[in-house]
Amino acid sequence: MGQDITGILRREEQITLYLRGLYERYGYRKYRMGRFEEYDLYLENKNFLKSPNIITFHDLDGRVLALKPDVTLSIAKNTHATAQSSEKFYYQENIYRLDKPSGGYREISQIGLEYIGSLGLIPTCETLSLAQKTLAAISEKHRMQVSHMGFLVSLLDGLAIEAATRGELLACIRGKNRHELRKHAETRGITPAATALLETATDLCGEFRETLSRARTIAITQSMTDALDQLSAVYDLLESEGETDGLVLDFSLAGDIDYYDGIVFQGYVEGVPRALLAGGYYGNLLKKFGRDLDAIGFAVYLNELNLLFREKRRTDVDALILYADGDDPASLIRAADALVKQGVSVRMERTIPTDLRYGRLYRFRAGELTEVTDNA
Amino acid sequence: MLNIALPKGRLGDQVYEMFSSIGYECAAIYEDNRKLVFENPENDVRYLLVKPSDVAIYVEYGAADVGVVGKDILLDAKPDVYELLDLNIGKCRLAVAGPEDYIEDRDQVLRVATKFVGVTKDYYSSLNREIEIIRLNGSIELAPILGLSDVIVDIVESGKTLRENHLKVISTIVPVSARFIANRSSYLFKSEAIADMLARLKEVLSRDADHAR
Repeated sequence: MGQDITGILRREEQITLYLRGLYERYGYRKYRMGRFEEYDLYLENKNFLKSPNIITFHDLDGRVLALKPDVTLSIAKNTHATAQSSEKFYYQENIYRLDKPSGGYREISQIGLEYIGSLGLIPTCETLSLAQKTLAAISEKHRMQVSHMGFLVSLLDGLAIEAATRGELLACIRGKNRHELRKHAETRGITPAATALLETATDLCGEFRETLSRARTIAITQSMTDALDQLSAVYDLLESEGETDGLVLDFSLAGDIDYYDGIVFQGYVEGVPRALLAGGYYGNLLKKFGRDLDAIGFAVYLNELNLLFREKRRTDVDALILYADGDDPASLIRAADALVKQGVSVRMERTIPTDLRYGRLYRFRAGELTEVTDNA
Repeated sequence: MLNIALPKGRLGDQVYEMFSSIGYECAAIYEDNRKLVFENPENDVRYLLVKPSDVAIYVEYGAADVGVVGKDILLDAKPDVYELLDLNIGKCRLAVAGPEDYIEDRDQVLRVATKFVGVTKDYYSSLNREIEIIRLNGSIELAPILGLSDVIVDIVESGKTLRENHLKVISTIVPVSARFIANRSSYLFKSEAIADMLARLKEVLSRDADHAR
């Protein structure tokens, strides 16, 4: 014991441990929850779920339970936070969601954190800066898109766009799809002036301050200006902390309207084709549970790290020792232990197993180990 | 290096001509017909020639940074990618077609043969019409002739194939053309290269539009 064992951990396991340490250092407490949750929770809040598909089963007492498709809902439901006393949690949990391409359910490993209480500039910046540190721990080459749900929603409000049309317009903005947006706007009888504003929204992405000033040109409501002011204040503080590396402002990050309602963000690292970190404000969810509180948090999809750290192990074991049935077991084990004490991993076999990659090959003969070289 | 996924076939050739005319040429593409990857280190591009219906998958999963794909495939598979530009080539339409003498019986469940299952479901559910989908991968026109289905949902270009099989267009679902798409992550990490490509494509399109005038 006392040996450094981190060497045997895979990269994603090391990162997970590092992140737990990071979140603990910023005062987040670990939150552990059961694997099951009452199905009613999801039924009543299905607008807050990414997909309506959930694995359910009947417990012995007849209650319908579900394998958790989401962690934040459970934390939001059970929080003891008040406006005066906030709560900070982090978690590492597995969730179960439908995976579109494989057409089946998938177990997804998540690590994330939640801040629930009354939010201000400091908790917001702390969360974003922890998201930045999280990405930096995963890869040097990282980017984070930041947006504000209030900006787009208020733009649609300001232009008096009907609820039925909003979905398709937001889908176009999310896809940076100017040409389809124009077509939809035309079909729906939206005025050319309004269409021009919406088209500008599809292009609002890039360097933070420059994008912010372009966004101001289409801010037609006070809420839009408020959203931009909030983003600006957050960016200023992050900049003074030196945490703006790879940060871009991108209003096409429209996401799931029901879940997030303020600042939203998504993190990427080079080599992973999808966002592996997602987060934002979700005060609406707490208000739905009857709590007049705000909340911000993010989750990291640890499964995606598999894509990043695909390096193959060159060997499964450092030394393979071949012995014969008649060999003296005590001296064989002594010889193997001697190698282990030197820090060498050892496997003893009578024949070479197929599919085993080993460093050195030893034969146990006459009470001692002889290395077998290629020429022998 | 920007990886560009192109659909194999006629549309891919047209798209390559377009890309090559704006500085992304890769002469190797003409050399060997069986190769699937062509690279030109001088202008930092690599072309991947893939099955048209797979272009969006290559881009969504990041094997290609950008790609060109028909709107029909985007509507059907709904990949999570950026759709940056309508290239206005490969124009056709997704349409419902049936026998020349076909009259719809609203009292029956409609049997629809198609390879565009997603679009077909969306279209008929928007009409609140109960259907049974028969998924086929080719020679869709055969289905109504043999009574396998009442109608088909398929790509219609000139309508010639339909006419030869005594079929007619019943309704157009959506017009289709080739779209320039990008992977969400690549858009962030190769933002300059992609923005540059997008700007050049826009320029060539507006030039073509001016010519057409």
